[in-house]
Amino acid sequence: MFSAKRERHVALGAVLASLLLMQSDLSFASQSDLERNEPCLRCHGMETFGYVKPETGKLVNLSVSQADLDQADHQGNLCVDCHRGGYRKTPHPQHKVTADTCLECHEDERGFEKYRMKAITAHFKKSVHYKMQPEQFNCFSCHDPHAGRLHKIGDATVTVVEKSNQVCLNCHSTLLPFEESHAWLPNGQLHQKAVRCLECHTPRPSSVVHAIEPAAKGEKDCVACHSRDSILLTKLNKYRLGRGEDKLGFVNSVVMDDSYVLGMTRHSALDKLGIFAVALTVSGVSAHGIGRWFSRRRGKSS
Amino acid sequence: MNTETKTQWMLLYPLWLRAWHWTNALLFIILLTCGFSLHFADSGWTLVGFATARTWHNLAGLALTVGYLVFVLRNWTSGNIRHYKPDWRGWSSRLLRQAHYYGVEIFQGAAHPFPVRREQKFNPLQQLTYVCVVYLGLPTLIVTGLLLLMPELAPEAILGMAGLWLIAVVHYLAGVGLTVFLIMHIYLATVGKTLTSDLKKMVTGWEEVTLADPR
Repeated sequence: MFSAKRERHVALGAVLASLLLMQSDLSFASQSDLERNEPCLRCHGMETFGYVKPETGKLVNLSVSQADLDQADHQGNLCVDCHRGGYRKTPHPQHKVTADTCLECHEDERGFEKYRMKAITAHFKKSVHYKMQPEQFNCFSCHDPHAGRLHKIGDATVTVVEKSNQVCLNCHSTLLPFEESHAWLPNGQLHQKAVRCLECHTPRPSSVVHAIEPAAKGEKDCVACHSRDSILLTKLNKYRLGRGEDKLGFVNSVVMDDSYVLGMTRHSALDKLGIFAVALTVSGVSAHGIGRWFSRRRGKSS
Repeated sequence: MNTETKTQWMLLYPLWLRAWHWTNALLFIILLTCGFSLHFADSGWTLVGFATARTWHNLAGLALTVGYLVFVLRNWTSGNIRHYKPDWRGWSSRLLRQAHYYGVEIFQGAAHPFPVRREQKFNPLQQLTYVCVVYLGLPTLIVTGLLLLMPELAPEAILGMAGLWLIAVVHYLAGVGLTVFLIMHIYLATVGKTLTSDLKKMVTGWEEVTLADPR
C-alpha cells in the first residue's frame, strides 16, 4: 500500500524501472553475488522501484528497503531462500515466490515452536479476511517479510500499537476512514494511540489476535476494557503480566508505565477507603439523627 | 445589659446564590452517580451504563466548572465573600464550641451557640467547611476533571508512570471528600430551628437574623 506521495515517486520510478529492466540481464550473477543479495537489491533496493500492472492500472511496489531488511527478523535470509528461480532474465513477471505463507518455512523447523505458526494459521483461517477472500489473503497481506520484526518484551507499547494499527490502516483507512467507522467511540484518536485494533476486533476474552472478526462483531462494550478483568490483559499486555504488578498498590499496574485506564488501573485500598468514608458518614449522620429524635421525644415527655 | 435577642428577616441568600446552589446540587448528584458508574463500572452496582455515564459526567463537569467560575466572581463582587473570611480571634475555641454543640448540646435541646448574623451567616464549623469545599475541594475536582477530559494536557509521566494516574487518584479522592460533604450538608440542613427551616431559607433566600450578638 502506497501513500499518495510515494505513489507519485513510484510512478516515476516505474518508468525508469521499465527502461532499466528491458536492458537488464541477471545471468551474470554468480552464486557469491546472490549470497549477498546484491544483484537483487541493485534494482529492488531503489525506493521507487515498481511498475503499473496493465490489468488493473495500479502501481505495484517492488522496492525492498535495505534499512528495513537490516532490522527485520528475516535479516539473515537471502532473497533466493524464498524467491527461487525465474529471476535470471529481467523483467521476470513469471517469477513466483516459493513461500506464500510463514508455514512453508516454519512448520517443522525446530526452534520456532514458540511462535505457534500452526495455531496462528488456524486462527487466520477463521478470520473474516480469509473467509471472504481466501485467494487474496495470506500472511504477507499484512506482514511484510522484508521488514517485519516481532515485538519484544520491553518494546514501548505506543510503538507496538502504532505499528500494529498501521497494518490495518494500510487498507482500512482507504476503505472507510477511522473517524467515520468509529464515530461512536469517545476519544477515538486517544484510543487509536493506546490500543490495537485487534483488542476489539478479535475473539474475547482470548489472546487470539489473528482470527479477525467482521466489523459488526467488534467490541462496543466499554466495560470490556474499563474493568479489573480488562480484555487488555489477555491481549496487548499478556506478555507483561507478572512483571512489576501492583505497583504502588494499583491493580493491573502492569499497564501504568504507558497509560492510565479508567476502571482497570484501580487502587484497592483507595476504593475501600472511599466506600468506607461514605458508609461511615451515612452511619454517623444516621446515628446523630436518631439521637436527636430520641432526645426530642424525651424532652417532650418530661 | 440588654439580654433580649432581637431578630429580623433578611434576604441573606439572593437569587443568583440560590440558583447556583441548587444547580450545583443537581450537577453534583449527576456527577456522583455517573462518576461511581465509571470508576466501579464492573461492580454490578452502577445505575448508569458506561457510555451514558461518560457523556453526562463530562457535560455536568463542564457545567459545574462554568457555575463555579460564575460563583467565585459573583461571590467576590457582591460582597457575599465576607461570610467566607474567618475571624481568627478565638477561632479554634469557637470551632470547639460549635463541635461541642453538635456532639453534646444539641441532644439537650440547647440553642445554637452562633445564631445567624447579618455579617456572619455561617457558624465557625460551617464556615471552615465551606471555605475548604469552595476554595480547595471544588477547584481540585474541577482542575483534575478537566485534565481527565483533555488528557493531552496532562503530564506524560509522574513518578515513572503514566501521568494521568496521580490526577485520577486526586480526582477520585476529591470526589469522595465532596460526597462526604454532601451527605453531611444534607443532614445538617435539618438541624436548624425546625427540621425544614434551613431548607426553606435556601428556597426563599430569607433568613431570621439575630441583630444583637449574644457573645
